[in-house]
Amino acid sequence: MVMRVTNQAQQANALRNLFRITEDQFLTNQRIASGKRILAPSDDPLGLRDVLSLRASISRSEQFNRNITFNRVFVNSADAALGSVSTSLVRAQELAVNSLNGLNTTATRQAAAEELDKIIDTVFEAANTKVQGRFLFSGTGITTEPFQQNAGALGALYSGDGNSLNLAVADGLTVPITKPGSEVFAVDLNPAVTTATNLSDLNGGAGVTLGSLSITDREGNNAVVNLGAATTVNDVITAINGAGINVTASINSAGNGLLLTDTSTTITQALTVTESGGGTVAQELGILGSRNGNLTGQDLNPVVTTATTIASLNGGSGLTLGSVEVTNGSLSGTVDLSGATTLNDVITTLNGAGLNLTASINSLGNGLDVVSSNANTTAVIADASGGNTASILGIGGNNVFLALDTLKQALERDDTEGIAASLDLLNASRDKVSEVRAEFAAVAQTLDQMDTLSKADVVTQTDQLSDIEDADFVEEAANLAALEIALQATLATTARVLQPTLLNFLN
Amino acid sequence: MTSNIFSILNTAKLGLQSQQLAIEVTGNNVANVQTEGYSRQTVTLEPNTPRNFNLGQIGTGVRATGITRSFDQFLFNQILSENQSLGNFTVRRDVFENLEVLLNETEGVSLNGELSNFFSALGDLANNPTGFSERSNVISAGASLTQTFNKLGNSLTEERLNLNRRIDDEVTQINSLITEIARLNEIIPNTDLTGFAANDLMDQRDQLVKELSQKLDITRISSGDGQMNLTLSDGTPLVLGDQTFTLSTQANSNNSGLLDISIQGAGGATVNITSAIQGGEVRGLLDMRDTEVAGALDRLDRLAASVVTEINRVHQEGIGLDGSTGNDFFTALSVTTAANSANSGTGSVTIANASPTTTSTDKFQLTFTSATDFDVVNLTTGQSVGSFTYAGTPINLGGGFAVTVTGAPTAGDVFDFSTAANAASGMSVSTALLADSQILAAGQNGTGDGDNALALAGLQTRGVFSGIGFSSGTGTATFDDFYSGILNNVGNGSRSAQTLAQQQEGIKLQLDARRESISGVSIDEEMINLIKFQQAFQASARMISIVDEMFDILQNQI
Repeated sequence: MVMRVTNQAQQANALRNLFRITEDQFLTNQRIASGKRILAPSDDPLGLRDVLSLRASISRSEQFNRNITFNRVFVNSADAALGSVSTSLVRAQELAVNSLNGLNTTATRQAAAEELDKIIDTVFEAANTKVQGRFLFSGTGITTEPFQQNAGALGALYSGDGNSLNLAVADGLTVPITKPGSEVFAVDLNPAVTTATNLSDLNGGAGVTLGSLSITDREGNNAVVNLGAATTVNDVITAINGAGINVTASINSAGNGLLLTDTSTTITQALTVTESGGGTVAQELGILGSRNGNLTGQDLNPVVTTATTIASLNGGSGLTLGSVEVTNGSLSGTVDLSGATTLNDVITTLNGAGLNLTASINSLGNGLDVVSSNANTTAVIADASGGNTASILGIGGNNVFLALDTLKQALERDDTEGIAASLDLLNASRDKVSEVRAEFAAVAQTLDQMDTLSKADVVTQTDQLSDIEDADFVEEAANLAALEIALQATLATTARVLQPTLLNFLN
Repeated sequence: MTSNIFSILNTAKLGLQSQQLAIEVTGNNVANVQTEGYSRQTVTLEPNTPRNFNLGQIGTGVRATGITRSFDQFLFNQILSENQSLGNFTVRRDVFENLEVLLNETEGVSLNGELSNFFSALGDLANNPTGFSERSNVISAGASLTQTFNKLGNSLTEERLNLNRRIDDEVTQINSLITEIARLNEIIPNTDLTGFAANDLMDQRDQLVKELSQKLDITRISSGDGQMNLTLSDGTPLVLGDQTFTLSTQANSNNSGLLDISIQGAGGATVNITSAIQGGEVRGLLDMRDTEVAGALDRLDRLAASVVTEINRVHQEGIGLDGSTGNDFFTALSVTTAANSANSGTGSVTIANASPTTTSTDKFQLTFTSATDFDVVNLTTGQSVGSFTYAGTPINLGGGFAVTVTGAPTAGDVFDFSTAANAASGMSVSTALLADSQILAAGQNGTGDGDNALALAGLQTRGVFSGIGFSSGTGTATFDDFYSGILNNVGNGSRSAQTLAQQQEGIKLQLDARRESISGVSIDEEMINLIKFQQAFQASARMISIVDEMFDILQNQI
């Protein structure tokens, strides 16, 4: 039997056909207008996932790119500053060699000393270079001017810290774009905190304002710890450990502060340390705050004292001491410091070496000053061959400011032995500066490589993103044209099919 | 007996009447050509009872025995069953479309973009840790991220409430449909008693049943007396003759106060049929409300909770410009605890987030086995956390929840808790940080370095999810991956709903075409019928005039 096609069926069919085509037209038009193939997650759920991860990835690559572009100036400026220091050192060497020439007199050496004074100013300027308002060589203490004249002694005082600014240049890769001045121009002995460290030596020698602090362990037990009578770090640790709560104090793993370990079994809150009685003792001990776990205290930055052990220097890693070569006027000799266990040992060994040396701890408490006790000679301390003891102790060797200042004093004092001996220091300093410049060059190279890489990443990923996400205009335009033809044909046939009924033909 | 002239007149009269009736029915068909659900009617004609005479039988004309509608009840049953699938899939498609609009990454709100912006701002801060503009940039990017989470969280919650309102509306409509069907059931057999089928009323009732089948999974059982009984596919009666079993809604406090559906059972008691409904728009609405939208919201909440937990964890370890440490970046998460409405004990459970940087973002359920003992299950992973005994001190579980029991719970009492509930809509930057950008902890060694900002920025590529569980440090999926997963779910759900709805529409169109080919009105056909009946009418009329002439002959010419 022939299928009965009724009016409603015809109408419904015609409508559906028209709507199907116009819907396709609408979507195609939308894709063309937005330029995107994926307009909703359901258009391509897997494709959208790739789109999102590519977008995030592009944003990261752009971030790395921006990091490098905006911060390359730090590396470039450091290199420029070190270049100028290098030039200054060469000029100082020339002055020293010229001054040893037999034609020179006290007067010409004075003149050389005056020129050297200007050179030292230039080096200070280079070492205190600021980029974008941030000191280049003060570590992360970027608002602190790193170097000052060491009044009353030789060299410079370093007030910065021992950290570097790190720049993220790729996923999981950071490079240091600055170097602390203590690794370039002078030395910071950087002692670790030990139980024997006096509270008064903490915070760069500013000490701790004694008072009480309140500790609440994770179980909620609270104790007020009175540190009014504490004198050493050990006193603080003992007081906290004896407070009767589930908190144990110790020196932290970095060796630069305290660590509060919570041993609570029932946890109801965070381990919290607050001030008690309006003091600032918790903050000054670096343990103010709260943690859902153990509280690692901040860097307490202790100063050195004569009792400071050699093993606690260099952030607790200790220093391996050997011999130093001392020249002081006509006196000279090798001083063996390998037996020293404390700074006091170093100081007494130097002072008792019969070389007219006066050693002491510097005014910032982060280094040693060694001067000649004879006002007419200059004490020059160099590394023994193959060693680095003078350099790492910051009493000579490759310390730039010390080398320049020593030469200046030798020139002023007309001490030819001193002038000759400082040439060694200047050489060692130039080597040191060159070494650091090479490190910066390596960083600059990494930056260049990563810059190229991240730019290429952005390009390839954007390309890929476009492949997945963007509409194919040619295809869409072809679709649209095809749909238009289909629509016209459907409209034309619909008009013919729907119109006539038998009525049109009956009279 | 011989032929009777009056009998001829009578035959012609019957012919006239029958054709007139047929024309009237044809007229009715034409009038209803565009009426939805109308079934074409035809007059069944049959020869009138013949009378006997000496030569045998002779016909006495025609008689209309009834007006029948062209109706295929098997096709109708098929339409009903396909309709409930169509209703279900259409709702799913429409709601998924709404979700897609909400989560549209191409235009509009882009959580992916906001996350990228936030981490970029942290990257900039790492480069200049002391810069105030970098700091306020990070805070405003963080605030913008929280606003996006808030908006999405609120929109999804609103979507659930909308679905809830629609369920309420559907129940009202269903009730009015079944009441109307029952009323028609009452009338139809009475009309049938007259000997003629109540075609138009039956069409009306069929149309109502069809509407109802879009909403619920109904099964139709016709009883012999022309009444139509309707049940749910599990046998729960909806309409029995003229008796109706109306639906009602009640808030389910175990489901955020959203509505459950009950039916009036035998003896006046109401029975909860929320899970017994298997098809139709109502099932679609329930599924979308309680599974799909709720699932998307749950994932979004967990993402927000994880962002808060992880960012805060790293942020707390850093040092602000003012030297302070241990501060939160985002407002710490609190625990939402919900007691089951069926709990019989008087006990309550207080759960604190004792360790906001380590607590799990999963959903947990605590079930008492005695007044002091309880089991805890992680609902997200389905794994048991363990059995515990409360002895007066808080009990820790799930990485930092501190559970305290007060009062007297009884065995079987259930409490649900999680930190993630409403985490997206309630996410905010910590007020302390908003007040003072100095406490933004960019440094790790002191106040000048950007190492902590770097660590925070590094979280963008850090795996913090394993599967759907938040596991800081050991996971394999990043925040971005997790969010893509949400979109993927919605996208795939929407795609399959679209396909299914389209297929179902195709099936319905075919069935409708078949129904139309059986029951629909064709004007052409009716015109032909009209001509047919008109000619028959004319012929019968001609018969009368012939008989008239015959009378004339007999009276005047004899």
